[in-house]
Amino acid sequence: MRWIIRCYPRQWRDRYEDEMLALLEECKITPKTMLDLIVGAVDAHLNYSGITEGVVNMVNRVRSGVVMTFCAFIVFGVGWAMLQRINDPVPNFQTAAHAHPELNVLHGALLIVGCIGFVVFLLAGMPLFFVSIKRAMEQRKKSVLLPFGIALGCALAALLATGGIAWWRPERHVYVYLLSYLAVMAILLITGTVAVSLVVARTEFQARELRLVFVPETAILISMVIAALLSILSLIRITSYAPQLLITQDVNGPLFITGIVFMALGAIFSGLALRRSWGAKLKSVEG
Amino acid sequence: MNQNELGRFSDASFLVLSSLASGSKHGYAMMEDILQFSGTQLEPGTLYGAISRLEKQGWIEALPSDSRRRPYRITALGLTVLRKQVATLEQVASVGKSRLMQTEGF
Repeated sequence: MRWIIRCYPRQWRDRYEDEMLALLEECKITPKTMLDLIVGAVDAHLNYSGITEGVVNMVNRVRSGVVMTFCAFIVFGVGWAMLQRINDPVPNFQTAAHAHPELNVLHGALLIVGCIGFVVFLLAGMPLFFVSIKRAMEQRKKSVLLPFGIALGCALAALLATGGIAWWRPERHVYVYLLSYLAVMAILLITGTVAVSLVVARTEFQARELRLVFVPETAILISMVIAALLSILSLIRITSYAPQLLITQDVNGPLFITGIVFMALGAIFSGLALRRSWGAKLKSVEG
Repeated sequence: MNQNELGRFSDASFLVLSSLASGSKHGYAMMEDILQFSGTQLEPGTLYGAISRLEKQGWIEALPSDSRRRPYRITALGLTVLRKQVATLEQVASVGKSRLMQTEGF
């Protein structure tokens, strides 16, 4: 019967072919069945617009929006973490902040807004991640469990690397070790991010599980935009009144600008993700 | 096509919604259930034509499955639509019954 199924549109087959073939294996095939399938194929060509419609598409769009938000938040987080180094060494920052209190306010506000975004990210993301893992374990879905194992391995390796370098405290070739540590952490972060994205992307969520996801996505986007604006303002004030702060122990001016670029990119991707989820939500309401 | 129209699949869609009202089912289970409660043998092409339309409308949704037999369930919107259709059919049946009684002199 596969030849008749091949008469259906590709989008339709991507969605229904497997289950239709499983059904046909259980049915008694008669000429009437074959005629019905041919009529169904013609009808699907005329009326099925596949990937732009339906609850499945809505779930897929929202799910990809979740993955995009996750990746965007990681990019944003890297930039945000770079900006947090602006008060290092602390005495220099405190001296500058004493003369220009707004620097302290901006730095504190940036810290708080970033933390709020992170809390929302965890509160919304952890339940979805838990659902993914629980479902994958119930179904013994290797395509999800494998990236989960990799993500877990990355988290453990990051902990071990951080703990190791903190315990070891090398006194010679410090920058070599520091750069090696940063390189390892960057590789682990990228690998872990890809792995977690695959876990979420390969999970079949139900519509009700993703129903309210645009609420935290909106909150995360708002926190990202506010944090990016605060960072720009902070950097302008520092450049004007305390340029000595731009050269710290391990981060300098260009890296702070890179941090702001990362934060801005995170905010832009997060906006695109929200637009994707929001569009899917509207489509479901229209349906 | 209007979002509330199901074209030539309206009867099949009504049967699918009625079948799923008693719980989630995959394609073959739906066919068996529909045959049992209505006497209608839906062919696979017609069944999946109806399923794709109902999914498009958001009246049913697919559930996660680790096998090729994917179960479906009726959504809250689907239940509302089914309730309306049943009410309409009951009204039509009631009118038909009373007119039949008049015609046949009961």
